[in-house]
Amino acid sequence: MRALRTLSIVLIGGLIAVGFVIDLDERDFERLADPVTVAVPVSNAGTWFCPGGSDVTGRAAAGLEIVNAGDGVARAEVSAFRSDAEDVPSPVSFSLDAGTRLAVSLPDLAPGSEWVGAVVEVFDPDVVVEQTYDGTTGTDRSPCFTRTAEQFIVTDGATRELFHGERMLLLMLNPFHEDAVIDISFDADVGPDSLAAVVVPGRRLAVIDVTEEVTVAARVSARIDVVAGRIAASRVQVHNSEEVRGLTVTPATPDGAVVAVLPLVSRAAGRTDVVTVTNPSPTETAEVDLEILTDGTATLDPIELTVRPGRTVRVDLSIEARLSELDDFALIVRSLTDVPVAAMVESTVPLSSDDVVGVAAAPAQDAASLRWIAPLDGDASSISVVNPSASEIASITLVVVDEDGRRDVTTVELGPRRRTSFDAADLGGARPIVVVEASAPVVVGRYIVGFTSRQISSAVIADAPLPVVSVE
Amino acid sequence: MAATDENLSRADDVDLTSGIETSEESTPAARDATPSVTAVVVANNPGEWFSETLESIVTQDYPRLGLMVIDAAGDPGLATRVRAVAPAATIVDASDTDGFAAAANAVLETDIDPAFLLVCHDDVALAPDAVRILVTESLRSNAGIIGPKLVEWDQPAHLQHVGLVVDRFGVAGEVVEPAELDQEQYDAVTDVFAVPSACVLIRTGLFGTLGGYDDGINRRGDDVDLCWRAQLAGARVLVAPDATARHREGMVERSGLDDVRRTRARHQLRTVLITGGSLSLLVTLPAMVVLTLGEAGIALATGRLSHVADVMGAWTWNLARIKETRARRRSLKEITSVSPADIRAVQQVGSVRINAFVRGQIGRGDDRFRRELVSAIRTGTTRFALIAWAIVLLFVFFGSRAFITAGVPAVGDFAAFPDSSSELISDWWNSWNDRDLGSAGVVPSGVGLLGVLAAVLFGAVGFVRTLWILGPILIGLIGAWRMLGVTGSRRAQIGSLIAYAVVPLPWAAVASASSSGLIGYAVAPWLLTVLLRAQASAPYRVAAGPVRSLPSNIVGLGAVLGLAVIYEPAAILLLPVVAAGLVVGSLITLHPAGLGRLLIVILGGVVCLGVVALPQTLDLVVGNPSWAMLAEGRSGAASTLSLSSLLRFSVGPDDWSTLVWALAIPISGPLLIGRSWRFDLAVRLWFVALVSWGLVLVSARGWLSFGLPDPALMLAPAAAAVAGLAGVAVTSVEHDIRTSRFGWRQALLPAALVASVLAGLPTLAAVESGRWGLGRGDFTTTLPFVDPGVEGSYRVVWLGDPALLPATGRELGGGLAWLATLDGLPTISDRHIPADEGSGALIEAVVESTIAGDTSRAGRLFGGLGVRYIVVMDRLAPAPFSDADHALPAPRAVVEALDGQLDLRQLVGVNSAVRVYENTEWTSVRSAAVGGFDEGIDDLFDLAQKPLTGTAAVLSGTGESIEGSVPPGTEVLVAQTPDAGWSLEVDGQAATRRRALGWATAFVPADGGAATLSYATPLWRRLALVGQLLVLVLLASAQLRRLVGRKAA
Repeated sequence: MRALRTLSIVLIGGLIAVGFVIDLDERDFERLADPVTVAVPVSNAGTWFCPGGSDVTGRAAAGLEIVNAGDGVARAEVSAFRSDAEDVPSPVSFSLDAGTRLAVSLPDLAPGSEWVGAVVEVFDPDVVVEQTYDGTTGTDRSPCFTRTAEQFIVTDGATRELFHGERMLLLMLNPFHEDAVIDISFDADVGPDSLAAVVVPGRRLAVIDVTEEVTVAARVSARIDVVAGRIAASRVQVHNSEEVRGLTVTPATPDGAVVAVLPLVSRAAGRTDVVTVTNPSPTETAEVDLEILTDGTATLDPIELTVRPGRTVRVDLSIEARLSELDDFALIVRSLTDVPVAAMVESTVPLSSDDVVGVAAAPAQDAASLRWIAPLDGDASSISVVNPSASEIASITLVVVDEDGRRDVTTVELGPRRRTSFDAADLGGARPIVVVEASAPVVVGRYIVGFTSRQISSAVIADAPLPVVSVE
Repeated sequence: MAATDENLSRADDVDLTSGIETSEESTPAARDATPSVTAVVVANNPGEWFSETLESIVTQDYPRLGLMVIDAAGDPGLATRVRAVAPAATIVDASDTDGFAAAANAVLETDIDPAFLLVCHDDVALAPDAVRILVTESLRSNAGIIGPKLVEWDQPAHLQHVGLVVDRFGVAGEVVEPAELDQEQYDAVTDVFAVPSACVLIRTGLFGTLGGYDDGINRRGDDVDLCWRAQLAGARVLVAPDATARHREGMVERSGLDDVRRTRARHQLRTVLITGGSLSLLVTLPAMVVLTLGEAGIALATGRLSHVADVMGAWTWNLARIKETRARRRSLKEITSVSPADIRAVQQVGSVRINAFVRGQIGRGDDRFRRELVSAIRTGTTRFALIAWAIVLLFVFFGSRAFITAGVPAVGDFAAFPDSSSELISDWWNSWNDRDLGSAGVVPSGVGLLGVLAAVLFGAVGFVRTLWILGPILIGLIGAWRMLGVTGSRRAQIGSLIAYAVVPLPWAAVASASSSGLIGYAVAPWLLTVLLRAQASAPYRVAAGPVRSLPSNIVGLGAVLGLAVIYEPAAILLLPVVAAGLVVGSLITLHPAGLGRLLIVILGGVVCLGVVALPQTLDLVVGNPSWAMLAEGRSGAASTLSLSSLLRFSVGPDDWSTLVWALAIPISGPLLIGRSWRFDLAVRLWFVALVSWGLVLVSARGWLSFGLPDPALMLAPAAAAVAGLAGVAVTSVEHDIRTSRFGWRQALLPAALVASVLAGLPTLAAVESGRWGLGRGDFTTTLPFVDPGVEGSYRVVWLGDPALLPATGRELGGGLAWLATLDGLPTISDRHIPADEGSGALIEAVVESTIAGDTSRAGRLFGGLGVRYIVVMDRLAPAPFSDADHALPAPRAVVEALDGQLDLRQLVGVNSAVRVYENTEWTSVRSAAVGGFDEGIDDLFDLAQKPLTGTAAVLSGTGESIEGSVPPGTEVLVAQTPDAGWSLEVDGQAATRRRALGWATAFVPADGGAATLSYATPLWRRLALVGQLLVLVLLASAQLRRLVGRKAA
């Protein structure tokens, strides 16, 4: 009996003890993965949010260019959204053949509306929707958003209209049925300002003329906080002085990122590239490094920045002496303190230049991928490819898609933390639709030089997006 | 009191010559001063005792007493027998009458006219001074009717009747306890409502005014009727206990006719109908109907059809005599001088009938049970047990007071009930489940039984819902009490009872709104008891063998599990847990005997369960059941429950105090000090608990490839085992400590007592809120759903953590589950995952596609499924009725995905506990659409590009027959799982059907008009339901019979 009692007590006590021991191990919780939310547009999302622009009489007449980089006929349904209170027009369907582009005039879809945006639904993963702008001071293009967000950051702008012809507007598209409410805080060289409880009606486009809110500012950054609902936002910046003229319509940066890439910056003669970095956090200071990635010809220490909460730092690359040996290069914007930041590059070629003049701007790209679509345009354009990986070599194949099908143009290998670029002239065709396929995640940007203006923009991801921070 | 005065004056003028002098000691002076009395003895073939009856009359010391014997049976030998004792007695032939009342009334047809009549049965023997005392007291107290104290014939020391109390339903009750000894405790003259007809002294004038007894009452109830009418006429009814009479009271034995129940029921109703006031009857009669139905219901459940016939027949019997009743009411009205309200004031409050039913009908007139009960109460342990039960019940009811007064909020698993009992019954009977996308299959029969109960309670659905929540707790406590009943130790039973009450499991289950947890709590001790009996190890066996036979155990197991499964299918999983624990425990103690028997009982019990839950069994056979049905939709994903929480049964939103750990001391006691069967049983119970805890732990760590139901359910065997161990600890103290030498064992007792108190403190503290921590409100008024009657029927898709959903959801993984309901919040009929999934996978596919970011037009896809609202739940109850700290927010991917949909509109300002999205592209579940509306849509996902347009809602509502109108030239899209049982008739003409949207049904009527969409439940399903009902009735009947038999034994 005693032995049996001892055995039982030991067994029972032992089992409980074993239970406690095994319960010390970490559990493998199955959680629905958070969605990968990146600022760079992703073609297979299918729905494109285009904050649009003005009607044909305005400063940035908006159009759409739908590009089919796929193998078959694609169908797109365009729903135009007005800035006034008129009824929302019925959606219009378009179809386009493989390897072709289709231009759509947004003002035609919403006649009489001063500003017009759009939502484009496409049912093919290889279709890209871009916004095109045509104004009296220049032209621009950028891909539409494929996500909406609750926070946007505009890192830079200027409102010295009277003496420098600088005008800044914020376009906010609310594609949803319910109204959105936003707060905007400005950080300008003339002091801070804010707008509270701005209503963006459902299925409408709202425009904030920052020039009227923050007057005579050489530098304005804005943080848009969506209190209710979700929106897509972009910045319209007009330069029209005796020194500089240009139109940039730049997607605002949703949320910010810890690591992002500016694939196309330059110290080329006659070109002034300015990088602005905004820390949207209201409380935390961001220590930011701008890491310089070249094609391998040089290795330089990063540019170190301290960005205080809610503030913006500008870096004029043209006056950085240590970059003087470089021509085109890329920057990795890294927040060392893990505080997400937003960055943008604005590239200016003044009127005094013999080259094509104008202003171009693009936000930093926070995502890499194995496949990108880059529709090229203009007279002389180029593609910049960056391998952000610290260890992996990327084999990159450039494919041109046109009505006749796909054509591999070139394959190169790109070492870790290197960049390279390809001129459109080498890819064949005046306006090639380029598909970049890589064996490792890369970041792709475009620099387009037209007859009268310049444009920088991100290419469009056509595969699973990977945050750059995860690729590293 | 006019009648009484008149009677008194008549008493003074009484004709003395009509009496028969029977006392030799009486003098002419005495005779002049005393009123005359005639004893009227109604003889009905009396036995040998009759001489004693007559002698007791002729030997009275009252001087002016005459005797009249009424021969009610035409007995030719009666005259001889009477003359032998009382030669001067008058004999009246009343053989043409039926019953005592009519026979006694024969005295009114004679020419005698004494002041008083002493109406007696033929089996009464009066004390010599009885008549004198009665007459004296009648004159002194001005009584119209007065009766003696009746004692047992053979045991005069035992009281039989000292007057009767009567309630408003005409039911008489005794003043004295059965077989109560006469210790002069009732010897004061007292007003009573009635005196038994065995021996009654009544003023002759009053008797004449009343028209004597009601001759429509042939047996039983004549006394109540007479006294009631006398009081209405203003007469006083007294009992004079100084006057005594012995009474045999053996009518049933003498007549050989056991019609007690039938005649009582008839005559009680007759009395009420005649004597009740018009307004009073408006209340009394419905109440009598309820009582009758209740009694008939119980009788039906116990298979006593004759009982049902008796109580129901009382109504038909009286209806057949309604003219006679009216006539008697009219004649009574003429002499009534007291208002019925004054009469009611002296009647017994409440129902004597309920008490009488228990004592007189179930006990069949045998008072042994009652006597044993009274005797038992007087013993210490039973009194202790009653106090323990009182404390536990007070604890449960006080802790649940908010539920009792305000109802239980419809949150989590505590689903709402429909508005009416008929809907509950209809949902069960019609075998079409609207949940998800609809499917054929039965709703668990528990829903139907709850509906029947609500119907019996006149539609008290809210009350039944509260019972549904609190009832399992009481059932569980009873189960815990009975678990160690076989040991014969009341203290052990008390130990189990209290331990089962203080384990936090049921209260945590209530706080987390886990109905399945409560069902588990209810069934676990019963299941454990059945399996312990099946194994038949000590103490569950007697010298002759097991306490229960094998078939009895098999049926018992089937019944216990079956009754649980018809409310909660997942409860079946408790069987392997308990069985495994018992097997392992038996092997550890090297007592494997009985395991074979256990296995046989388990196998047989499962078969029996299949019969008890017949419709569900058939659904499993014909349907495509998934494990999700038993796992309550949960996957095998890891949860945050730690072993520490499991051992403390802390499975609710709040973490229970570590004081619960103190329970470990008493339940370890039998392991340390137990001997013999107490040690063996303790080891077995410990392993039942360990298996239960271990299984939930393994599941919580995510090591199972399949899901398990709510941890509160799966921990129920552990809780029952802990309760059993507490009881075994008590028996160990009773048996084993006493025989031990003084040492550490004796110290264990105070330590265990202190530990038990400490362990109970957290549970005691939980009574403070009155709702065990569950929020006060629910989503009923929070969610802004549009009335489906206005804009058409729609579906609601619910997303969130499985613990938060308002019914059992299917888990998608990653802490997200879903379900869909029709026209708003789910009801109890939607609670379970049906055996046949129907087309429900489509909803899951759309949800997954949306979360994956494959579409920004989820509204179009949901619209094709009739979904209008998507509700994402972050908390169990709406703010402010739920704590934000207890929130289980939906995964961000879900919120992001829904926020990013172009055709979903988030309804802002609803409540911080939920996100509600309205689908702007919704289509009613039943819509009229132009022909070919779905051309080119072969698959639901085609709707992303080709949304449904031009539809209009028709045929709104739920149920199996939906009426409305259909516009001409349209088809009717029915967005639910296609089933051949559904048909549409428009103007009486059947519409043809076709497949629509790749999954739904479109009916194509010839023309528009009045339409009826109806579902024909297959006959075999109905037969299965009826069969199940019969089985349940048989089981209940057998159990009640067993209980009654046990009492009788």
